[in-house]
Amino acid sequence: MKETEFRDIVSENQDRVYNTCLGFMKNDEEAKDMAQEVFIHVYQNIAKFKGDAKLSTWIYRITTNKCLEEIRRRGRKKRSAQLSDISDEVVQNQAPDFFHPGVAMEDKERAEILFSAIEKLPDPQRTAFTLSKVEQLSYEEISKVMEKSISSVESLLFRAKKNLQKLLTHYYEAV
Amino acid sequence: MKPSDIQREVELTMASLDRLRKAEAPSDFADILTSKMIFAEDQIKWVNRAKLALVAMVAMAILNGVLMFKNHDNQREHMLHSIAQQYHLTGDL
Repeated sequence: MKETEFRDIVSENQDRVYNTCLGFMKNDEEAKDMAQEVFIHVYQNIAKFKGDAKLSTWIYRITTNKCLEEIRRRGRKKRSAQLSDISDEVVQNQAPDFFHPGVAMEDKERAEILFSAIEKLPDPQRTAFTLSKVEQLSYEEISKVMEKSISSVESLLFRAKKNLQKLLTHYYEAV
Repeated sequence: MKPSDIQREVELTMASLDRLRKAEAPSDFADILTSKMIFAEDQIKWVNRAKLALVAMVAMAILNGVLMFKNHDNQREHMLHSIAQQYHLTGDL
């Protein structure tokens, strides 16, 4: 791929990649690092892109996978597949370095708490919720990124919302 | 906290992302990335060259092995043929 072509791809997609990485990493510097990792992966694997989906969909998919891989690698997240495990966990404010430039000042504290709760979700719910709330993708777009049906995405978002409400209820009961 | 207050806090927290603005990547993002890509590309070239050299070495080793075996096989056949001729001429091994 020529340098100019790559620059075009970066220019068209850098904001959405960076914004999505922010949704997962909750930190400006880490999001920038992850976004660079994503584009390096795009550059190295562009030949594998079959064109059966939009380029942006493919890039979103790489972004979410890369972010989740990095999170797992750092061991930040306890994987709790059982609803009972999730409901027993109290959300701790575990992100002293939280910084999302898109969060309004008056919402910063609550957003920090919510992002900590989102961390506790199973990966599919977390991905769907982040793409919906942070990146504001439609159900159809999310289904293409996650390669799931629209009804599966709806179900994931419903369960994510319910689990977050449970987690936050526990948090505020403990405060 | 009263249950109604907890409920209210939960709702407010859930709504905290409703006013989330999309963040923009830094203005020098593409420049930094491109310089990293040039470095990464050089790395890939060297890795590919090393892989090619390794494949060539393995292929040469296999070919060498096949030729050695074939040569040994030819020698054995030649020897057997000589013995058979000898027997045919002298009637004696």
